[in-house]
Amino acid sequence: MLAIVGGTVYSITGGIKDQYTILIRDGKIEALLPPDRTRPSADYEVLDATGKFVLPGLIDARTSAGLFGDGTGFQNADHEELTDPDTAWVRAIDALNPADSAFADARRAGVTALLTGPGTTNVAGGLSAIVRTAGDTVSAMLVREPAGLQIGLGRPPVAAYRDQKKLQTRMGVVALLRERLTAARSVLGKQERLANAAPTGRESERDFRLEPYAGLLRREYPARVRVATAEDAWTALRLADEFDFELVLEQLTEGHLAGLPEELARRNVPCVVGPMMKAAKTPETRALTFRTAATLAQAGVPLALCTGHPSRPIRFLALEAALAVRAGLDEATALRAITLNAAAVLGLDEHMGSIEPGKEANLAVFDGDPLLPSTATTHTLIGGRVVYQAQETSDRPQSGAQPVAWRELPN
Amino acid sequence: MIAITNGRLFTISHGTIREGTLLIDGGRLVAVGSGLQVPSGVQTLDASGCYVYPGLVDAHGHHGVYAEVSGPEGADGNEMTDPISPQVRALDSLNWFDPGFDDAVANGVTTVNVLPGSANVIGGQGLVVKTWGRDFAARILCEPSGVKMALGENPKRVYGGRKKTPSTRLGNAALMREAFVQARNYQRQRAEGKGDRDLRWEILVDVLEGKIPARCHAHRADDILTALRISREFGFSLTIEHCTEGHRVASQLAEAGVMCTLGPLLTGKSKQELNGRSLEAAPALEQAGVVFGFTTDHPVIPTYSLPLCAAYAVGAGMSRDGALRALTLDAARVIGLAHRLGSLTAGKDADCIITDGDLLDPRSRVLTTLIDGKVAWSLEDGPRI
Repeated sequence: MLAIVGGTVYSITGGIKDQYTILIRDGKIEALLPPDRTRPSADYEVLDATGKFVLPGLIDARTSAGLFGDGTGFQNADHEELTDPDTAWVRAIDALNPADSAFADARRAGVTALLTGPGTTNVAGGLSAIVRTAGDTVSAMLVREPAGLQIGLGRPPVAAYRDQKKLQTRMGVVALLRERLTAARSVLGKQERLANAAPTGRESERDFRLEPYAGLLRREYPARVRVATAEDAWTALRLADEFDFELVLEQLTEGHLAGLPEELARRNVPCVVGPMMKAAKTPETRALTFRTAATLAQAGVPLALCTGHPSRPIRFLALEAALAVRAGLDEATALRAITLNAAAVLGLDEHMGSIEPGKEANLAVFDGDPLLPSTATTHTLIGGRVVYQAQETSDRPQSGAQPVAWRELPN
Repeated sequence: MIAITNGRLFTISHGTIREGTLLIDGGRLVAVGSGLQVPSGVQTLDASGCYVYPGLVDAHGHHGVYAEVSGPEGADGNEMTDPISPQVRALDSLNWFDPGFDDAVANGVTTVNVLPGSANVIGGQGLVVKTWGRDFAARILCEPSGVKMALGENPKRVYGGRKKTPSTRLGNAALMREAFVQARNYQRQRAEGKGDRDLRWEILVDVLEGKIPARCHAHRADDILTALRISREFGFSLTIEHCTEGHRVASQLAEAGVMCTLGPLLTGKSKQELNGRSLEAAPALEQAGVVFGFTTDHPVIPTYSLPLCAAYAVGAGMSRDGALRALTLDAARVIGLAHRLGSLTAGKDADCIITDGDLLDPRSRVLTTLIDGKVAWSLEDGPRI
């Protein structure tokens, strides 16, 4: 049992509360108490957060963390199975390395949960997973799998497979998806007919490579579709209508254009915008701007932000939010986009993303404004356990001081 | 004449003036201080409540040679046909209409050292340009600004894949050394009035004679040391570009008096030679007394993220003053233009930016950018982020 006392609590759902006490029991938030209440009983270990800012653990709604091995070159580039544009049947958990430095970086940045999935080059990249950022094994980290089928529209798959003559156009990309979804639909129909027929003891044949699509059609998880241009976003909406699958849109470089904010709000499509801190290198990303986030949020779209790690390193999740604020997003919405809304996009907002009784005690304690680069994380907690602690919590590095040494707590 | 009045002036060279005035005439700063008399009839920009900094200097970028939005068709920074290509000039690839320049000026970056890429052991000649102005010739401050070289993974990946030297770090260093031996031979022949002009060796002779520096891409500590070793062997002046593991060899860099660009700090560890990246390189270099400027390596990270690199360096323990200097005056020193750029000092180019808050807070916006005393961009033109 732990009590975090004296901090300024960004509850996300109930505003900013000065000097509130957070009680933690059995890995969950037990209570959030105003300053005038009696002190926690002696059973509670006390973490003094006076002068600090306590937030729900940050959540990165789209990464390939742990799949692409940071700083190891090709040796551990396991984030994309670039052998065919359709690799829907590969699973993130089979490449996820819990020892990858991405997770230590995440804990140090106060990020406690994330979606990690295959990259976005393939039309169907594979099945993603949601994990907490601490644990020695995949199963110890795992929150949900499959979290979705990762799909990519637009130029990246064409660029990757053009020379092999496997794909040449956007038409080809969409036709491939439609063909797979149609095949999965007939397999499901056949299975249903078999199940309804007189019992024969015969099990229907499995088509392993179509099963991820069948999961979409049965609405077991969403299609998480990366789109850059507005036309691709509209294509994703059309496909979702045609095959009646649940849709989450990712990246959305042109999400602020072509009537998308209104339409996405009308349909209540969750959107993971970003990573935005990139140069607009290709024609597909020519409209890249942080105003996308503000425009979508103002239209009422459920907005989350992401780093796409390793596209942008996971430690800069809060920077995506800060730059969106520069471009016009209000701070409360920006923080929500890396906490509660990110949880909602992952289907986990009942368990994570805000400081409320009953939620997992995933928390980040910062020594300053969470949107400032000079702010350091002093503690990160997952399930009430401290998984990161800055070695010197009281001494900020002084001018010309030795580089600060950091210490990871054993799991 | 233009006056910028009532701003908080970060002069870089002589501290901060809480409420000061800049007087600009003929494209130069003519007076900087508090309580200055603004002559009547002068165009005045009121910077009350705002911060004023010198224009930011990116000592290593690829604006124009990797033009934004253009994809592979506009990638003109690496002539990947010969690992020794000192004769090629970034100027001849430079697309002045690259939106990257607009993004730079709109976010306070007023000068960039545009370099060729790092696919070649010797990759060609860079140039220093201002980021705004229709008179393109006038925008060039220095050409060539140095010869780009590269050690480490990039050349060996490009040529090793073709079974061509270099396929190892052995090959990188040997080719670099061989090129300078050739240049020495050429220098001697020409002094004796023999032989024809050879553009490849001609520019390397300029390096050997100290007219321009070699600017060597080196991430890993051993690559940095290799560059120092070869520069000492041939006696040329050197900057280290990227300097990712500079914290491991900071004392050697300081001892050699070699200046660096540091970064880009905000990217992923996409290759092995970046594994040693840490924000702590900045305070370590500062503490050792190594002069460096931050680099975005634009478009590797976007040009507007230059001050963010400094902000994170401060979070890692660098001094605020040092971080601001590494965005301005020290970056200008790295490209040999500290006499014209990098501080709000009378006599220098009137390149300055007005912001609505601390430059190191990502939420702050650049309101106005002046280059050569002219308003190059203002927020009313529409934000570019």
